[in-house]
Amino acid sequence: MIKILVIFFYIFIFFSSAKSSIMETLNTDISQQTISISSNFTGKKILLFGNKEIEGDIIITIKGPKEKILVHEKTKKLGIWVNSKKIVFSDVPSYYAIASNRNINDIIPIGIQNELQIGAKRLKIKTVHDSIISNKKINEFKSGLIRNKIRKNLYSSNENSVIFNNKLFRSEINFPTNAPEGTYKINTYLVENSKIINSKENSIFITKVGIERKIYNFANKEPALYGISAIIIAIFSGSIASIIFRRI
Amino acid sequence: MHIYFPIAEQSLHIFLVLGMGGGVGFLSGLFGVGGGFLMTPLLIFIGINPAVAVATEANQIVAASVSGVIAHWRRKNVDFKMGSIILIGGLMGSTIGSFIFKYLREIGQIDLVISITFAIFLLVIGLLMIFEGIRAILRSKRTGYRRKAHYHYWAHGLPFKARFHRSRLYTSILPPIFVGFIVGILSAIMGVGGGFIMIPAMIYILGMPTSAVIGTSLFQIIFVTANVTFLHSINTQTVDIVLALMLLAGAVVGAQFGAKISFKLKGEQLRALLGLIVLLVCGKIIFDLIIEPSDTFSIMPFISK
Repeated sequence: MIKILVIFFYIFIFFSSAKSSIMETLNTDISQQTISISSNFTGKKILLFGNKEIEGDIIITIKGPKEKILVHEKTKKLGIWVNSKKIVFSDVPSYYAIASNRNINDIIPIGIQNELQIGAKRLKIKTVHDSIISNKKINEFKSGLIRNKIRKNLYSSNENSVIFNNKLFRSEINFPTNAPEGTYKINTYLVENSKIINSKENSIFITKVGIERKIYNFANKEPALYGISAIIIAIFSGSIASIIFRRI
Repeated sequence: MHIYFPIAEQSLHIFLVLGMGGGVGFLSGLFGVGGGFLMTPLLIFIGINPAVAVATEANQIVAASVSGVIAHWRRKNVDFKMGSIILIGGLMGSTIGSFIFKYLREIGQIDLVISITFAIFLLVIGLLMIFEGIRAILRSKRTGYRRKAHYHYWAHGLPFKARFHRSRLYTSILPPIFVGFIVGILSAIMGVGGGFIMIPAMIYILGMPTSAVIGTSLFQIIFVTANVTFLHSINTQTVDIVLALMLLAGAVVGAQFGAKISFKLKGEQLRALLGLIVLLVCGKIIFDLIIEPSDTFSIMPFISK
């Protein structure tokens, strides 16, 4: 199925680029603009594809909606591991993924990587109280934050995942089950001789739909009524089960 | 086949959820405990957010307890008067407990408090049950031991006395209210019905007959966990109705089988068996507290006050 889509997209790009955007060195598009979370949602792979008119490497970054994150460090007190120190980070991308056709350090100098925030550890994440805490400590906490995000499949780095086919390229982007709702920004960079020649931005929107959307809204907009409904449903289900089993 | 749970924001395999519900529900029917002391840690273990686990489990216990209490009611094993008195304390305790929960969550210590409370209570109660169970089994083998018509407990000397026909007790209403209050607090914080504390308290502190404790405990657990469900829905919006429904689909079936088998086993054997399970869960929790975590850093969404 994916293969047929890929072929279709290649044909599409070939004709559209040949006709309208001869001057553009880089064109990108994604296989779908929105991801709907419904009851059978187990994560989603989407396809980013494009063409480039010149030789060069491709780097893709995907950033999810920003959030505030509380990071705790455990230390041993009285023989047990206790959350003791904490730092709050703001402007943390809830999701961050990076893809490229080869090792990023070989493509682009670290200075530009820092500038464009390419790579999870180069993200400019702010702390809420940086005046009291040393930079070394903040970096320790930041690394801890990134490790946790990677464990939850929300941060990923996939060098070599961008596949070239002459002027065309494509890459699969994986959104896990726990990808939060919101707008995800996808930036594609075309790099030649350590310089960024062109870049394109796409965005993808993740949203809950159907019964999932309704339940989520109900719980958040009418919490009291939701709580009462949950109790009534529970009592009803418990009674039904009991009646059924009495017959048997 | 996976199902996406809208409040937990997770996708889990349907058989995993049904199986967990069924297994814990079986124990729930067998021992008359809500099963929360097993289910809450299990849910957290499979990656559910602890706050969602606690609140959702409270909702599921409502259903499991309704189903369980009907089975006991048919056999006249519920002391409604005693249950209602305990419930007065239970509603007060669970209301206060839900606000303590909210506060501990804001200062980032809820997980630790949950673990330590579990460890302490499960250790004491597990040991007590095994000890009592073994002693009773040995005694019954030697002399054909039978329970006396009634014991005299220190609690019987307190004021505000009332007669409880089903429990064959004439005792003060203060100890049941107090027991209900303490268990209510724990119910809200730990996401448990509190049966594993309530049942020993009914036997050892209130002096109720073993035959009535399970049904009466389940009866008051329904209302306490309903209160917890309601308060967590309002305070934190963490009750996942879909997850609760799936868990209880498994649990109500399991609970029926558990309840049927419980009438065939002796009380002493049940107590020793439950004591063993309690100690196992306790051991795992203590192990997790003292062993160095693979990553000393952990993250959670920052909840602004």
